Amino acid sequence: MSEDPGRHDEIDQALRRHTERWRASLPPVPDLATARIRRTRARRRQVAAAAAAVLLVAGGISLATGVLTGGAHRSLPPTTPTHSANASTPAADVPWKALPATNPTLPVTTVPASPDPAAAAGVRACTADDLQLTRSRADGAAGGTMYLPVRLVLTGTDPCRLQGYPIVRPLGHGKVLALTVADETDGPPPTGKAVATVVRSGEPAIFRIAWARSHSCPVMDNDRLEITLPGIARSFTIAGFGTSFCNPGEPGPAVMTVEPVQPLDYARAYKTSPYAGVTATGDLDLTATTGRPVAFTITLTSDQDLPLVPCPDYDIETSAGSRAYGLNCDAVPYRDAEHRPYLPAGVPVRFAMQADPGPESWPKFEWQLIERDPVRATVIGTLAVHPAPQ
Amino acid sequence: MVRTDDSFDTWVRPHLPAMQRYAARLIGPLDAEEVVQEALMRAWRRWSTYDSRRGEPVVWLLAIVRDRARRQPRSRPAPLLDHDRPVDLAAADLDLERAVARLTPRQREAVDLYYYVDLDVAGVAELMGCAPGTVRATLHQARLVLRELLEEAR
Repeated sequence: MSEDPGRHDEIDQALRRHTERWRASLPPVPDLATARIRRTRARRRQVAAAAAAVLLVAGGISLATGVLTGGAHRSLPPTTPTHSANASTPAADVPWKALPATNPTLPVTTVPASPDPAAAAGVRACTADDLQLTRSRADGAAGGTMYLPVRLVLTGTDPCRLQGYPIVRPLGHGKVLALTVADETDGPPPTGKAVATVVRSGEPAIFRIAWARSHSCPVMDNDRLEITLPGIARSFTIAGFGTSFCNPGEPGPAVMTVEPVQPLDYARAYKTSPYAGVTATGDLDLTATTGRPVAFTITLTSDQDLPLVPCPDYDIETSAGSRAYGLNCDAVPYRDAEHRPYLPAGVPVRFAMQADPGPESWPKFEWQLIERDPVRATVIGTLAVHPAPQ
Repeated sequence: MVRTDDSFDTWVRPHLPAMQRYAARLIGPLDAEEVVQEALMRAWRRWSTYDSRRGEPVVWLLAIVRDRARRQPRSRPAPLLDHDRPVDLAAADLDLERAVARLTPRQREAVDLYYYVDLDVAGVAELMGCAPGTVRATLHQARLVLRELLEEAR
C-alpha cells in the first residue's frame, strides 16, 4: 500500500492496523473453486454432445458514448404514447421466441454533476462583504500531510458565484514564509480543476489547503494564512498550520497546495441508461425435467415510457451455462406514436420464457435483462432438475 | 499462454485472497465464499475475453466479484462483523468499523478497496473508474469524515 499522501495520518494508521486484524479474522481461502470448475466443465461436455440446442452467440452489451444530457434515465426523445393495448387492463403475455442475441448498442444519458456548475452562469460574482471564512480543524495532527478546510459562508441572503483557485500566502509573525504554494491540479473537478460554485445561505463553499508540515525543513512557524479569493481584491486572514518540524536530512520546505473553491457537497456527473429504470420480477423457483425446456414468465416494469429501440438482449443461466437471447420486442402489445414497441411507465409487461434446464439442478437460476452496469433487471431463483421418466 | 483448466488455476490462485476480501466487504464474510465461487465460474467462462493490456488480472476479477455480489440475494443483512467467528476486537475496532459504515458509498468503496482489499491506488482507480488523484482525494475525504465520527463517539 503506497502512493497515498496521507499514509502517516493517524486515521490512516488506525485503518491499517484494523484492516490487518480484519483480514486475519477471515476464514482460509477455500480451494474448492477449481475442483468445482473441472466437474462443471466435464458435465457440460456431456451436455454439448447430447443436446440439439440452437447455438446462440453470447451477448455482451456495450453502452454507446453518444450522450444526451437531461434527467436520469432519459436518453431518447420524449415518447407520445398511444397504447395499442389499454394499459389499464393487463395485456396477454408476450409469447416466447428463441431470438438470437443482437448485442445492441444502447444510448446512455449523463446525469449532470450536482450542483450543476452550469447553474452558476447567471449568478452575480461574490464580493468580500458577501463572505465569511471559517477555518476547520486541520487533519493529520499526528504528523504527515495536514489538510486545512476553509469554509466560505454567505453573510447575506443573495447568492453569489466564485470560481478558481484562492491565492494563499503563508505568514509567520507578519512575514511571508519562504514556501512554494501551488494549485492542486491532480484529479478531476472539483478537487483538481475549478468549477463554478454558487454560495447560498445554508450552502457554503469550501477549499482545502494541504501542507506536509512534519516534513518541512527548516522549522517554520506558520501562524497566519492570508487568503485572496478569486475575483475579490480584499484578502482574509485565518490561523495557519502552526510550527513545522522535520527529520534530520529531509529536504524542504514542503510545497503547500491549494484546492479550487468548490461546493461543500458535490456529486460528479455519471452515465446511466434508460434501462436502469426497469425492474424484473418472476417466480424462478422451478422444477424441470432433463431434456425438456422449462417454461416461466418474466415481468418487466419501467419507471418511465421506454421505447424498446434498440431491442435489448437478456441472459439466462442454468447448469447448461449462460446463454443470451434477443427480447421478443416485436410482440410487445404496446406501441407509441411512432409505432415502436415500448414499455408504458408503471405498466407490468409479462414475457413468456423458456430455457434448457441443463443436466442438473442449479441453485442460482438467473434471468437478467442486460449484464452491464447500471442496468440491474435481474431475477434469481432455484431450478430443480429431475431425470425424465423411463 | 495456452488457456487450460490448470493454467486458469495457476492464474487465478494468487488473486483469491483479494476476491475473498472484496466479497466479504460487499456482502459479509458468511456469504463471501459463495460469491467468490460464482465469480470464479464466470471468470473461467469468460477467461478468453480477458485482455492483459487493459488492466491487471486482479482488477478484472474483482469487477466480476462486484457484479456477482450485487446479484446475490441476501437472506440476512450483511453484518458489520462476523459474530460466528469470535475475534478479539478492541472497542476502537468496533468504533472504526461503525464509522466506515457511515461513509458515502464512494468513500466506502475507496476505503474497502485500498485498506481492506489492499489494492494500490492505481488498482482502486481502475476499479472505481476514476483518476488516481481522485482516489487519493476520496481517501483523504473519507479519513476526514472518519476522524469526525470517531471524535463524536468518544
